[in-house]
Order: sequence, then C-alpha cells, then structure tokens
Amino acid sequence: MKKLFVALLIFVLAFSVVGSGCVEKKETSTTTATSTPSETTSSPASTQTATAKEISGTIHFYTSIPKDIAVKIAEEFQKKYPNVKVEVYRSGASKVMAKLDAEIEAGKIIADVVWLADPGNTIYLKKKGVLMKYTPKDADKVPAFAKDPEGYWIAGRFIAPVIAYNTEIVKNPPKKWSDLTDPNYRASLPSPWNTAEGWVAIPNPLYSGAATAWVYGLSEKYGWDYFKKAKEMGIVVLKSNGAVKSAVIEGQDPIGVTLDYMVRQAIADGAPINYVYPEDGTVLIPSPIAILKTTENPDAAKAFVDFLLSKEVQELLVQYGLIPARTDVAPPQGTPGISEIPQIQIDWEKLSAQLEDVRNKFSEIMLG
Amino acid sequence: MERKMTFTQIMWVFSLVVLLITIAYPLFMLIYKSLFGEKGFGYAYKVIVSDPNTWVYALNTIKLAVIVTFFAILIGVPLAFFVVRTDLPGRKIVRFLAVLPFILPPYVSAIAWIQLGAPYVGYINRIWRALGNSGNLVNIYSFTGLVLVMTLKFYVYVFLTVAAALEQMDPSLEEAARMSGAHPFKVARDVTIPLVMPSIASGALLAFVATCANFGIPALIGDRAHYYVLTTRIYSTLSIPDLDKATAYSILLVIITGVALLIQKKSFGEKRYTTLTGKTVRPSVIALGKHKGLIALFVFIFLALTSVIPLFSLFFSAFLKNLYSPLTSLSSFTLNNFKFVLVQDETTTTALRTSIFSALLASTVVTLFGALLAYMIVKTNVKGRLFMDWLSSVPYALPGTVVGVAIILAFIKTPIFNTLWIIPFAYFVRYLSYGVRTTVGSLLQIDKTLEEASLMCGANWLTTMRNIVLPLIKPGLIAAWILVFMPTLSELTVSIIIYPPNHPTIGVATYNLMEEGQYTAAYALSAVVAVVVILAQLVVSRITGKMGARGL
Repeated sequence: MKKLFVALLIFVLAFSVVGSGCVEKKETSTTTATSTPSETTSSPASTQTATAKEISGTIHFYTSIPKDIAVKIAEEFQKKYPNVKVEVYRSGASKVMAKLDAEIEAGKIIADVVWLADPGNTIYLKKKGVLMKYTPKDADKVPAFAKDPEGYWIAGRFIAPVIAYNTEIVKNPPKKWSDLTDPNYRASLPSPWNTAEGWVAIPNPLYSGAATAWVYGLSEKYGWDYFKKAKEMGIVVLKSNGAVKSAVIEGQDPIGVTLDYMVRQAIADGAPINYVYPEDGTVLIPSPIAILKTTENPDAAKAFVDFLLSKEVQELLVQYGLIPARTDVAPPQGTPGISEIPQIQIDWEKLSAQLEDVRNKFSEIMLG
Repeated sequence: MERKMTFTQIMWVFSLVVLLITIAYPLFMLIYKSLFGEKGFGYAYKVIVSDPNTWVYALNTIKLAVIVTFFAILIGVPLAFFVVRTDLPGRKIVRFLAVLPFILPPYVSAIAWIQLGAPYVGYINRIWRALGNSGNLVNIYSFTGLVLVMTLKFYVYVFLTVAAALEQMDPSLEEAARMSGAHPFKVARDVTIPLVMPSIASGALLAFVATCANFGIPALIGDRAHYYVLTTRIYSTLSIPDLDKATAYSILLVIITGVALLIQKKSFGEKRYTTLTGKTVRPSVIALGKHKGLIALFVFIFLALTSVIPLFSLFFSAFLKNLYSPLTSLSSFTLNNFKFVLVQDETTTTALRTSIFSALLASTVVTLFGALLAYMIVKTNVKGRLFMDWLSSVPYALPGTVVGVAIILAFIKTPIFNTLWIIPFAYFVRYLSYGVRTTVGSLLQIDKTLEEASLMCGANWLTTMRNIVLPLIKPGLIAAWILVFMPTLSELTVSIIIYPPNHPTIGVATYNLMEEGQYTAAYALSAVVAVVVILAQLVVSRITGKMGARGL
C-alpha cells in the first residue's frame, strides 16, 4: 500500500519536472500589485534628472509590433541604458492581452510597458485602472487625436486599413470603399473574378482589433447597409490581416482589405501586390503605448517610453514601412503624410464601449 | 481478503471522485450555464432561437453530415466488399491507402486539399491554366469541396466497420444461396448486404457524428465558402466573447448527434444477427473474373486521387519559398520552412514541446486510470461501476468543441486554467474512454481462475496483480497508451477552445499559421505532423495487428 503511494508520488513529481521544463522561464521578478508606488503623474523633467547610467533594473515590454522591430528597439535601448534589461514578449495583440488579463486576474502584473495595435485594448486597461499617467518628452510632436486626453496612453505609430490588390490580376484598382460594393466595378475585373465569390477578402473583426475599428468606421460612415451589400457581392471574411495579404498575393482573392505596412513589406519582398489609401477615407489607427502603474521600475519604464517616441526609434519604424507617430518624422517613401491621408475619425472610447455590439452586428450580417 | 476489500473501496472512492470532478462537473456546468447565464434564466436560448442564423448553422450542420454520410456509404461499402470478399489484387495496399487519409488529423487533410484545389494557386488550377485555359477549374472553398474533403476522411468509418463484419461473417448462408443457383452479385445484394446492414449503420453513424463534431475542415474550407456550421460558430462566438451563447449552441450540437444516435439504436440496436459466430472462418472469396483488371484499375486510380496525390502535394508545397513562385525554377524551393517551424519560430517550437508533453502525460494518466476503472468494471462488483463506465465514455461521444466549452466553464476560475496543465487535463477528459475500453477488452480475456489460483497459493492481491494480471494485459495497456498519444499529439478541436495564450498546441499553431496567411510554414508543420502520425500508426498496427484502429 505504502509502496503504491510512494510510486504514485514519484510519478507525479517526475511529471512536474517535465512539466516545468516546458513552462516558460519562471519570472524572477518579485513584482506585486500592492507594493507599487502610488505615482500617478510626473513631468518629463523628472526622468531627465536621472542619468542613463543611474537607471537600472529590468523592464518587461509586451507588444504586438513585428518581432524584428521589437527586438531591435530593445537592443538599441540597452546600448543607451547599459544597466537596464528589456525583456520583450511579442505576440499577436489578442494573445498579449490574454496574458496581461491573466496577470491582472492573478494580481501579479509582470508587464511594465505595453504597445499594442489599436486603442481598444489599451482603453480596456485604462478602465481597469492598471495604467499610469505619463506624458513623454516629445508628446507634443504627436497629433492630438492620437493620444489619450487624460494622458494614459500615446500613439507610437499609425497603422491603416487599405485596399490592397494583386497587380497581375487587377489592372483597374479600386479607389474607394464604395467600389467594393459596386457591381459595375466588379464587372470590370477579368474572369472569373467578375462574378466570383471571394473577389474581395476582408479581415474578421472578431479576431482583429484593427478590423473592428475599420468595420466601426465604415458602419458610422455608410451604415450597416455597406456590409449587407458586401455580403451579397460575395466578399469573404478571413481571420487576420496577414491572411488577407497572402490571399491577395496568391490571387485567391485579388482584392483585399489589410494593413498598409504589411503591404509595404510584401512589396519590398517583391510580391505582386500594391495598395491605395481609399479616397473616401480610412481609419488611421494610433497604436498606443502605455505604462502599467504596477511597474517596479518607473524610471526605466518612462525612459523607455521616451525612447520609443524619440526621433531615432521613429525613424527606425519608417525603415520597416510603418507610419511614425511624430509629425516631424517623414513617412516611408512614396506614402502620404498622416495629414494627407483621407480620414474617417472615430471616437475610440465610444468604440470600446460598443465593442461587443459591433462584433455581434457584423457577425449577424456577414457570417450568417 | 479483507485487505483487498479495503483497497477496492479506497479505489472506488478515488475513481468516483476523479470522474465526478473531471467529467460530471463540467457537463453539469455546461447545462447549467446554458440555462442560467449572466442575463437570467433561458436568455441564451431565447437569443439563439430568435436568431434566424442559428437555424442556418444547425441545418448546415445536418445537411453536410447527411450528404457526407451518404457518400461515405457509397464509397465505404463497395470498397470493403472488394478488399475482403474478392480476389482483387493488392488488397493489403488498398487497405493501407484507404486508411491513410483517416489517420491524419482532419486539418492536415484539409490543408493538403487546399493545396490542390484552391482557386488560382491550387495545383489543379495551375495545370488547368498552363494548358491554355483561363480562370479556375475547381474551387475547394465551396460546399462541394467541403463535402469532398469530409467524405474522403470519414468514409473510412464505414469501410472499417463493414470490412470487419464481412471478415467475421459466417459464409454458410451465402453458400446456401449460391448452391441454389444465385448469381454472385445477387447473393451479395440479397444475402450479404442485409447481413452487414447493422455494420453499415454503425459506420454511417460514426461518419455522421464525426462530420457534425469536426472543426478543422469547416474552419479551413467552409468559412471561405460562407458555409458555417455549429462547431465553427461556437468557436467564433467564444471570440466575441459570448460564453452563454456558445453554451447554448453546444447543447444544440449535442442534441443533433444525440438524435442521430437514437435513430440508429432504434433501427438496428435491438435486432440480433447471428452472423458473428466468433469461429475463425475464412469467408469465401468471389472471383472477379474478367472484370478484375478494370475494377482494380478503378480502385487504384480512386485511391491515388484521394490518398496519395493530396499528401504528395502537401509535401511538395512544404518546400516552396512562396506559393506564387514559378514551379519550373529550382530557386523556388527551400528547406527554410522546416527550419522555421522546427527551430526558428518560437510559437511553433513551443507548440511542439507543449503537444509532446501534453500527449505523453495524458496518455500515461489515461492508461493508468483507465486500467483501474476497467479493472473495477470487469473484475469487481462494486456499486455504480456501470455508471462509472458510462460516465467515462460520455466526453468521447460529445463533440470536442463542446467538451472544450464545458472545461472552460468548470475550470476558468481555478489556478490550472490558463496554464499548460489545462491541456493534458482536457485530453484526459476527452480520451479517458480509450484507456477504459482497450483495457476492458484485455481484462475480459483473463479467466478468473488464474487470479483465484494465485490468491489460493497465498499470494496477496498486489503480488497477484503484478505477476498475473499486469503481464497479461500489457499489450492492451501499450495499445491504449499509443491510441491516446497519437490523436492528442495533433489535437485541434479541444485545444483551440482551451489553450492558454503561451502554450499553443501543434494543432493550434498550424491552424493559426493558416489563418495568418503563413501558408508555406503551415504546410511544413503539417508535413511534420503527417510523418509522425504515419510512423506512429505503423507502430500501432504492429502492436494491435489492425490498421486504423483510431478515433478522431
């Protein structure tokens, strides 16, 4: 009897060892939700009092920006601040949020700085009361619509839904969103796309925050009728912006709605794809940066956010095809500046409050 | 003797507690939550009943399953007949090729077919245009495509059950008919087919339920064709997120598969066909005569098209740099996709580790606990053992998506949720019946007198177990272990519902690669899965001596 229990115990222990081998590296940080300084606002000047050498410790940077850029930024920062270690956790926005949510639930937030794709998740974090107010050094270089009026977040870049098209198939690219619901426009495409289902692909707002913003923007401008027509016209819904980009490149769906920087990267890779910023305006999505108020290392976190908005990093983003948040940094070659892109302005706080309704409505119309 | 009683009692309490916590509680929560959601009694049902789309999804599910089942019978029955009862050449190969697509995870099959039949980039359409045509010859993203891929996957249920019945059939009935001068095909129609009707029905039921319960194929093919079924709808409802509505859809799915089960039971369950005598009989083989060559050619072309070519195109694509690169140039091919998924990409390498760990743990615990349950069911007469038997098999009868939802509801507030441990835990719940059933089979073969003899000779219960019972059921235990390990290694349907953000499984990682448009990487990962599963299958067939003894 005893033997059996011993055997069972050994078995369980053996598996916990195997198990922990698979679990991600245990965090050594002792951050707790309660031991935080109740710091709320601080002027940019306060971070400047500490010199680069004096700031030390580890900051956990959670982001959904492309991995190579995130790693590059962390490296550059560590060169400037040799005593700070930046741990990057990079994944899709919804996965980063799921991880953060779990940390909040557990009362042990590890993240110090987050930089996600669209304001939706950041506003959710703000409402949860886990963000710190902070106005970075160069905040005045970022347009007003791209920062939280109360100072909880600020955009670090812009992404925009655009109309992408396969250059080998589409010789007469669409110019505006309304072309995608226009039978005459579809008729101008070569066969079989002039009649086919799936001549246009769009990303699914159930999975993509950027797509949710786009759907919301268009429903505000053209009403939900736009999507009813889209359904009738045989527009297909794919899961992600990346999937739409690939489908357009391959020609499965010769036209698609996807994010501008993805298309620019694909063009740089030599793929047969191009895009337009639609004349009737797109939703310019500010990608917010925020500091968690539970951070144990507020000085390093602030220095890092200042660095993200520095000219140096903003120019680096441009090299990767991203639109910078600063108006004094030139956009990627061949792209209009943010003031020249026609815009559909949306109220991010309002969208955040109606998120479920927007998704349900879309699902009801497009996914039936 | 008294010691044995005590031990049995302890184990009885232990097993019952485990079953109640892991299975009964999640199922209770599923039903409870669908009735009493956040917005009050019956709200979720009111919402889905008044939403016309609900009936579209339910009818889509039923329509798809009925059509797939119909074609599964149409293909499975004749193929089984040719393989078992005729002198068709190469029957062993035919059997292997017929089972091959079945042993692959459904999403891998779907991906293989997408390679062939996708508009514009699919190989069939590329060849079609290379021949001077324009546009597309086929479009896999259509209802027809969905039916095709699912039929070619699930007809194996009909094929295997009918083949098994034909093998064990007492040939004397047919001989009697033949002696009275009936033509061989008339014998088949009037005697053989009616006798295997119950097997056709149970194979058809399995195909029906598998189609209703499958997530991977409708998610990868149906979504693009605007053909939504309940499993894909449950998944997207969870993304809104709307847990109440998801539970109500889950119950609807359970009702559909439950009704199918009832119909089958009512029609065939009570009748007794005394054709399975248990004697080793060699059913008479019908000579195909002058049609032999033609039939063989037909069967082999069919299997080449359905089994070999899709797999070949999957492997071929896994080496492509880009799907749009020209196939005529060597520079279009690369090993980078494999390097990416096996070494470079953190997500897929984590997924490989997570899946291997989860499959190892789940199959080990299922084998051990399953053996314990099986022992109590077969060798003791403790109270409630049949209830335990039934309870352990319920999750297997339910669609994986529904089991996933039930597990979320029951364990979302526990520390195990959102950690790696939830995955092997869910696999345990879902696959426990494999462990129980396989070991029950082995235990039934051990005569009670062997144990009694050991006990009479003074050996205590543990010694008897170790020296007599365990060695005898060892092959059964090994088979159970592998039968759980294989499907869990590449599991998608449950995983996609419950996986923690940091621990995707191989199935989830492949699905996500497809959804993110990283196709060539997805093909490489699928090719890796295909190789592993085929190798594992060869090991299983060595041990169990039977091909294709595998669930979903």
